[in-house]
Amino acid sequence: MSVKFFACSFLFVSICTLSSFQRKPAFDMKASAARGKETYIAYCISCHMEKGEGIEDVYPPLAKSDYMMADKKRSIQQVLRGVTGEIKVKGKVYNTEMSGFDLSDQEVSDVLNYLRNSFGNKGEVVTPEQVKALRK
Amino acid sequence: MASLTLKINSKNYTVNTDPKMPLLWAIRDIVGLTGTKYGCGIAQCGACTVHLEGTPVRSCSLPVSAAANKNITTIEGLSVDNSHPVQLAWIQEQVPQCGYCQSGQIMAATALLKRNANPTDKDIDAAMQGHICRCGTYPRIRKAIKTASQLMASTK
Repeated sequence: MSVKFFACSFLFVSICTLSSFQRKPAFDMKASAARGKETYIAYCISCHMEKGEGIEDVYPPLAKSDYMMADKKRSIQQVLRGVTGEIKVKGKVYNTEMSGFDLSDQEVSDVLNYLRNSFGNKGEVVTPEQVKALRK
Repeated sequence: MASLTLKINSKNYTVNTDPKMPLLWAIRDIVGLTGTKYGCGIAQCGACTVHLEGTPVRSCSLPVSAAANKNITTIEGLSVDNSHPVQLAWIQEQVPQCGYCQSGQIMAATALLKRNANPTDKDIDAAMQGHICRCGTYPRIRKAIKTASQLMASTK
């Protein structure tokens, strides 16, 4: 009796666990970055240029950017609210104002996933939930 | 002051100027190509858009030194006789009202069509979002981009 009971409970728990995994699929980084590329072309490219190289002394590079890759939270806030004042990127000081962007949580997540995994950068996922949490 | 070479519309110009001066000043006041307009001066309106190595940039906030020795295309460089498909489409759809922002709009549209020959409304809205038109000609801009897309396809 008790063996049967344990077997049944084990089966029940396993099914619950598996189905909960199924309900929450893994974040599709590739799709997010692909959408982010379009957002990048529309909003960012005119200053940061096609390969994220930026423009010397004026617009900081995003390619292999030590500054950008150092702080994911800061990047989210910068896309939402903009940047003012001096920043140091790859050993050079930049002081050009960037305005914040009126983008959805998903668009911010997508564009950062593109940037953080292109142009020689490699970084962990930025989810729309993380963006939402930083809007407050 | 510095002596810089600007390659505008496949022609070389040597300018003697402060390297930090915006590219727009050099294009308009030194070289004398006044088709590109000054709008806001802070890269927010799109009126001053030119192509730098094919990428649309805001010439009002780009130092002239950053554009030295690179290929710059202004509205005058699209064609000598308004025969570029985007210009033809603009004329056909009678897009401009006051016209002030239109050079920038056309340069942005040209760059979009080069990248995406058959853009959807969504693609157009996304690509043109940084270009403000105080007359509100946006529906005609969208229409003209589609017309230009067809013109380009039919001449291929």
